[in-house]
Amino acid sequence: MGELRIAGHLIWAKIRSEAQYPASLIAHLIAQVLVLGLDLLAIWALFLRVHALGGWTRGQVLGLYAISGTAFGIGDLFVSAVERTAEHVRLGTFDRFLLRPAGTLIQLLANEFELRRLGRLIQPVVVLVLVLTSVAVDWTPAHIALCAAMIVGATTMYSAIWVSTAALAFWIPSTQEFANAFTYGGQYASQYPISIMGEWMRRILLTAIPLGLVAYVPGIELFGAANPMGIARWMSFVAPFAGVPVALAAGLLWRAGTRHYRSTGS
Amino acid sequence: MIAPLSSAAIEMHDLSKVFDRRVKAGRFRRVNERHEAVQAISLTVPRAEIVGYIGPNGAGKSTTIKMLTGILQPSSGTALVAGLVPLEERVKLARRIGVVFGQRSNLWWDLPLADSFDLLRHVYRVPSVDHARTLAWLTELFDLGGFLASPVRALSLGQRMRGELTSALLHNPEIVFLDEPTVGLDVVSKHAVREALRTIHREQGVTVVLTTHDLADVEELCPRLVIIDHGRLIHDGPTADLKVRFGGERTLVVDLVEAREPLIVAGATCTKVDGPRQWLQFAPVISAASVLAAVAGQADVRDLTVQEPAIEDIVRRIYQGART
Ligand SMILES: Nc1ncnc2c1ncn2[C@@H]1O[C@H](COP(=O)(O)OP(=O)(O)OP(=O)(O)O)[C@@H](O)[C@H]1O
Ligand SMILES: [Mg+2]
Repeated sequence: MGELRIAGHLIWAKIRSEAQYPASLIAHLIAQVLVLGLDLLAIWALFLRVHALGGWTRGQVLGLYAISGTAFGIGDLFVSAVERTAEHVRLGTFDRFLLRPAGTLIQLLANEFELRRLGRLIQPVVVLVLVLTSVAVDWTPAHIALCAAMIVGATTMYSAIWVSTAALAFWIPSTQEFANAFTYGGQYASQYPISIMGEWMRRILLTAIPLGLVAYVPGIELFGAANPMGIARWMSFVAPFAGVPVALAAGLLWRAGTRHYRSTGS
Repeated sequence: MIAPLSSAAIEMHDLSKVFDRRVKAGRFRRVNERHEAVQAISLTVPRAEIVGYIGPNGAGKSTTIKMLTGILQPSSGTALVAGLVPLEERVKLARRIGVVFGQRSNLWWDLPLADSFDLLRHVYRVPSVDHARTLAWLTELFDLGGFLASPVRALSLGQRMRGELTSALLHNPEIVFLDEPTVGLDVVSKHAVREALRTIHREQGVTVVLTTHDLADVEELCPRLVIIDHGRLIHDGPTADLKVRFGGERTLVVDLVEAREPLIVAGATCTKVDGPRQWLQFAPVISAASVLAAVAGQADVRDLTVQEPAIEDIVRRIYQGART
């Protein structure tokens, strides 16, 4: 808790300094909303040609898109700044986090917090509210919990992947592009029903980079959607927790990385 | 303060750091090279002592400090700082030490200096009453009043350095590591920083490890001097003993009544002649009086001075000696 309070103070300081340039902030937010709007347009255009995608209706696909997008947006806002690790390692400025009495990861995230990243969250949240109120979801208590678990689980999963790939910078200084392939690439992949993808891609998304587990698999149950892969129903309720072991592994990797940190000569 | 006073502030035992470096070997090939930046240094610093930790560029001073402050994992050997193992007990240790790297900043670039201090209060969880008291004291000591409200990026180097020192002292650390805190400062600022450090040491009894390339810092502040080179300890002792131990030639400067050819004096060599003025250098075992007597036997002396060796010269010779 104490760590979160510290992070809160650091983030608040960052917001204040960012608010010194309100025009830039607003322009950035608008641009992000517009760019993400193109995603919606693509889904809409797709459904002009087909009636279903992997057996999923337009509303169901939009629901999956919105949940995945919201989780990604939250992760982007609070955790994606971890990609700055590479820079801090290269310049030796990671020193200062090690010198202060708080966790290094939380300090780094708070120090690199940028309110402008909120832009990625606005659009998916709006879509989420619209879709969840219009698509036929049977809002039993179990489904409400499942919906929340999907968002938390997917956020955890994205964050863990971000942290793991960023931690590689402690060993290999220039890993940024490699990291982006996992996070941004993974986000695109998890927006759509994975049953439409090739066999090997499906496997990856269910095991190695298990983004399919936190979005698609529970989505089948939540939206009562088609299940061409015949995934067992209990899996839908267990799958959102797939983020937990991945997050623990990410934490261990980060810890090992900080021990491997070698600072710079001057 | 927390640990019993009998235990040392800092204990190092065979502390070493090896860096693996990729170096070019031929046009495309690169090989790993082991670079021993710190080699088996053993050192004990008692509480409330000020130690000057000096050495030429690349000697391993900063690397040692990074191992003591929990930034770097030692390759071998052990270190205890305030009774804690630095990287293992990093968070605990961070509360009890203060660190300034003169070449780096610990402050928030875009925020007013005062805001940086306020953030550090939260990070170190210092009660606000204590914080206000310490800050008021340090503000006066480092004369920060004029620029507390300025963003750090707008401060001059001297102002920023005083801010950095304040930021490292705000949580009342027991042990302070200062790596080149006077680098780039003018004479007046250097003097102000030294005075402030002296006051802090006197009033708070902190232990200080000071790294610098300005030997006046050491002469004015550090009763004890440790010299390292190539990662090895080459001298450890009272600063005042340095001249005795490493000798250093003294010089007798005589103004003769008339100009003449260089004097020939046993035990001394004439290093320079400028009109009637001559410089005679002699070893520390020889007394100035015997040199003067020999000179007076050959020529009439109007005036004289004896020049002591500068600490710079002694240290330069120690560095050069270690290189060969
Ligand atoms: N992160 C690093 N990676 C590789 N080599 C390093 C690293 N940090 C330091 N070194 C090497 O270790 C040696 C000691 O460096 P260090 O920074 O400790 O020297 P120093 O005594 O502080 O020198 P200076 O007076 O120039 O600051 C140097 O040869 C340096 O090149
Ligand atoms: Mg150095």
